[in-house]
Amino acid sequence: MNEEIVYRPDPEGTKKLTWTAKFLIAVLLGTTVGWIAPEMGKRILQSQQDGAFLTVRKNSIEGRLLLNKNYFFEVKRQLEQAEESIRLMMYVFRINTENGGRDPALQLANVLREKASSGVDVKVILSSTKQSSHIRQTNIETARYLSAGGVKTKVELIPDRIHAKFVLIDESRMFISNHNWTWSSLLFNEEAAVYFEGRGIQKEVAARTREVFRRVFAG
Amino acid sequence: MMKNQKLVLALLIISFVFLGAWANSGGLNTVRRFEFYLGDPVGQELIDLFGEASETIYVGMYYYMTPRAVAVKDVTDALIEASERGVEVNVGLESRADVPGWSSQAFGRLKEAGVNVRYYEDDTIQHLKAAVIDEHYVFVGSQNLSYSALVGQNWESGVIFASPVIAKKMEKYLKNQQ
Repeated sequence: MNEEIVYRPDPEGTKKLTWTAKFLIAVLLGTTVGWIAPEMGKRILQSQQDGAFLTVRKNSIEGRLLLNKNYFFEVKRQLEQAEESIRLMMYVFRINTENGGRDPALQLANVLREKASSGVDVKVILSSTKQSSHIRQTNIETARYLSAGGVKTKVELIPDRIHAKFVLIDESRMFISNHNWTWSSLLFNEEAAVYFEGRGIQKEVAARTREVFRRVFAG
Repeated sequence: MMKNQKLVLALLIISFVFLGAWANSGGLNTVRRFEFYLGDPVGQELIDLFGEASETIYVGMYYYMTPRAVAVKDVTDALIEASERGVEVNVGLESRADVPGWSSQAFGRLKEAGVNVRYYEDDTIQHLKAAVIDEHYVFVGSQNLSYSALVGQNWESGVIFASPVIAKKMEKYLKNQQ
């Protein structure tokens, strides 16, 4: 006798995904794919353009244009995230302590002080100039404020004037700007800057910066 | 699973794909041919880039003091030569930074040679030291086109790099300034 075999799933054994589980899977799957796919695409494009997939990965540098006051907000945010070191070279760093902390340059100075007091190695080189005693005096006053907060600061004459506007954080993130650290420059002028990060910064920038700061702070 | 449930799940996954991609981008763009300067001015490198330009050059400059410095004259010559070989050269200068007889002479020389040179007319101070070449190469730094910067009396910082995305943004910005 032929017995008809009918498959009937055991209702107790059937596991149906709840909507919460489905939602979590969607989040996990979606964000993972979204995160990885552009990165892989970028690497493949780089390998095609540069012909050296691994080299690009190893020494990659990425940048972002920061115009006008966007520089201030980003440099403040990145300084606040510093864990090991901050190096700053600036032509004019003018702080105003009489406006209830609204001065953006004072806010940056205070971040430097906070970082120094929390153990981050913060070194600042400001400009002494032959051309302007006013700028020299401004920088000397800022240097006093920073030094009082534990920031190692030098006001230097190299060779006639330091005109650089440069920040390096943790030897891996860098800002090159038109901006001086003054209220007008940080919030009102038309100025351009670029923020860079990536392993290439370590190779291209960190060694040169170490050399310069070692020379100035040894003197 | 019901058909509409599958659809909702698929839409959720797609939404989070975009969310993940957005979170990963961070607005950063890959940079190549990165050259970093700390101490030395960016002089000959800028002249070389102007010499290689084939389509457009945009320059935004606070100080531009041609007559006194051979080094600055070389930059000016490179811009004029680019213009003469058909490159669209645009230079924006800040009139309020004009030391009498200096920037205005640079302005006159560039204008006479057919370069699209203008003074910024906005109330805001234009403190720019930037250039974009062929929507590809970007220069940003601390240095003006001045004698003290280009002969090394100053200690400057700057970068030259290739990034079409940043170059386009910077060019748009400089164009709007002019």
